[in-house]
Amino acid sequence: MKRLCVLKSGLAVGIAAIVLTGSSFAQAPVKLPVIGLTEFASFPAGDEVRNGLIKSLEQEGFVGGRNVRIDLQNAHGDFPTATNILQKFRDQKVDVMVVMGTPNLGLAYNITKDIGYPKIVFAVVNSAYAIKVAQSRTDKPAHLTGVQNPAPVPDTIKLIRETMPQARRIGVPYNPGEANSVDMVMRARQAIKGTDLVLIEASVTRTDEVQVGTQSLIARGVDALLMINDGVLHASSGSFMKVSLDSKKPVFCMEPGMVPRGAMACVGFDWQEGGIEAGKMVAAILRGKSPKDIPIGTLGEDVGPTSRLAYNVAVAELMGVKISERALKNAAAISKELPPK
Amino acid sequence: MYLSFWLGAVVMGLGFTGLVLSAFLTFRVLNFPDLTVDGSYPLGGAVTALLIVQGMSPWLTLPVVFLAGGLAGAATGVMATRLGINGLLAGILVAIGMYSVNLHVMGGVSNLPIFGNPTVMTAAGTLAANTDLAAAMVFGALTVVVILLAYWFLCTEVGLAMRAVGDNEQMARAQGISTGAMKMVGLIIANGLAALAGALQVQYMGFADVNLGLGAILAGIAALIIGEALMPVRGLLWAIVAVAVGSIVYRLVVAFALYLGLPPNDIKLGTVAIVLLALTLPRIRGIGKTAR
Repeated sequence: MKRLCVLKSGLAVGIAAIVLTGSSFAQAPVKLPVIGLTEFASFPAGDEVRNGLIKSLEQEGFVGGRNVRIDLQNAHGDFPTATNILQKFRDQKVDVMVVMGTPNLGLAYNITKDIGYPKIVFAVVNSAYAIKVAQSRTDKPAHLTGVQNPAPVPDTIKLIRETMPQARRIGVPYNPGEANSVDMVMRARQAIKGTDLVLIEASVTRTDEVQVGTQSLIARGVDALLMINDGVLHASSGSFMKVSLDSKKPVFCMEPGMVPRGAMACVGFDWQEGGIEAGKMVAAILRGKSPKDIPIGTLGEDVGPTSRLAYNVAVAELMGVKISERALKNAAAISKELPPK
Repeated sequence: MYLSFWLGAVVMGLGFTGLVLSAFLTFRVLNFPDLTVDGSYPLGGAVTALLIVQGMSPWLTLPVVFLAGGLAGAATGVMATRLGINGLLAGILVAIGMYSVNLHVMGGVSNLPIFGNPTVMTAAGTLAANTDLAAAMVFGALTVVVILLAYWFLCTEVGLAMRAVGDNEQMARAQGISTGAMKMVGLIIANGLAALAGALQVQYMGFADVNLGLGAILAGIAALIIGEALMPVRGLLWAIVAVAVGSIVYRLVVAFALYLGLPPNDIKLGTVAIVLLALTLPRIRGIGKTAR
């Protein structure tokens, strides 16, 4: 009896708490513009984009909590949850939905294509065209725009040829479950046509498979490793670099941030920059610009800085590779130390 | 207010019923722990997307999807009954292998969009102005049909034999029932249902994704147990209806956690807390036996 009383009062308190917090969902105390930001899953590259986005918004004058409300959500890799989050934003009629990740873009497009709102800005998407959400920079739904960040694959292949002209077999570990990764590998296969390079591919679907997968490539005989912008690889870059350094097979990558971490040479962008460019678009929309007038941006081609070269001379020395003075002159960043053990 | 948000959860719960029913058939009726659904669920999605893009009617894809799922179930069945592999392991092996199969079905891409193509909901678009309401009606109707078919099947000779095998395998064998055949039948139907659930989810989302199945069985079992805890124990039909109820409640619980505005990293914990609350409430009131 007493236990029932305690439980009943506990329930009453619980319900009261729920109603009170729930009412904050129904009406905001002050009418601030709302940005609904949703990530599909948690991974380090995504964190960097998000940080870049928020930093960019602050630089444009929009500070979360002060003159704008940022509703941050994460679907943790679950499709129905991701759908529900976007439906929540739609029902709340948020001012802008920022969707990160290709699945989120597909879902957001699907639930807004017939009504044209809320406005969508996407980021961390390899290609909006590949999933048929848009056909070109301007041939797109009027309420949708964003930043694509396809990795500079042809440039990286060129970098390999210039830095290691004698290399033939290039090992590529990647997660076949990521649309972006499959696309990058396909573009790599295209880029090596006409050269005498051969791609040796290894599938790694989880972070704990990266070490073994990379070692299998070493065992199959590769001259160098190509690190594409893959979420699984990025999350386990530590073990990937370790295999590279232990076996003395250099890593070529597309993210300058990886060079201090053990990659020998890189051409590309830091993930943050995609977030920064997306943040500029969001700020413009909040100030009244229509997404119709903001063409889709491709990082490195029409938005953001041009791709940057970076080298790690310490790693190059360890691998026995000579990087020419001319190459070093063109570099935006040169690391002189091996990564800490 | 917030109609599409709550309706969306209900629609996805209805669509997911096939997978929860699959867990019911294997874990409860057949007493066979089957993890194949992590592979057959996205397979259903992949097959329906592939066929819709080729121009097939979205309704006609459903029986094909069921067959495809059935094949996956048959693979597990053959491993478990003929090759002597432990049932749990057989399911895992097939689920892992299905990842590659699904990628091939989708033509090598991990994301296959079907925007602009007709789905089972476009026909119903004329029934209700709100697309989510239309989807709820279509999925609701499909769920009712599936529940009735499942109930009918489990009362047939084959269905009864399957239940006997799940109840007491040795006794069933002594009665002359081929336990291997019954397990095959059960696995085929269960995975066909899981594939159907995947197909419905994909048609609702507008694209197929090879990663759809990650963690599907966990969600299925959670929904199954929630349904059992919430519904009174009154025979087979109620047990099957409990499956649908559990599926819908599970998605509503996640929606509720989102509605509460929980910090994004705490959504899963919040979901668990709400589920625990839902499960312990009946026990406090003195009712609540699981349908065992």
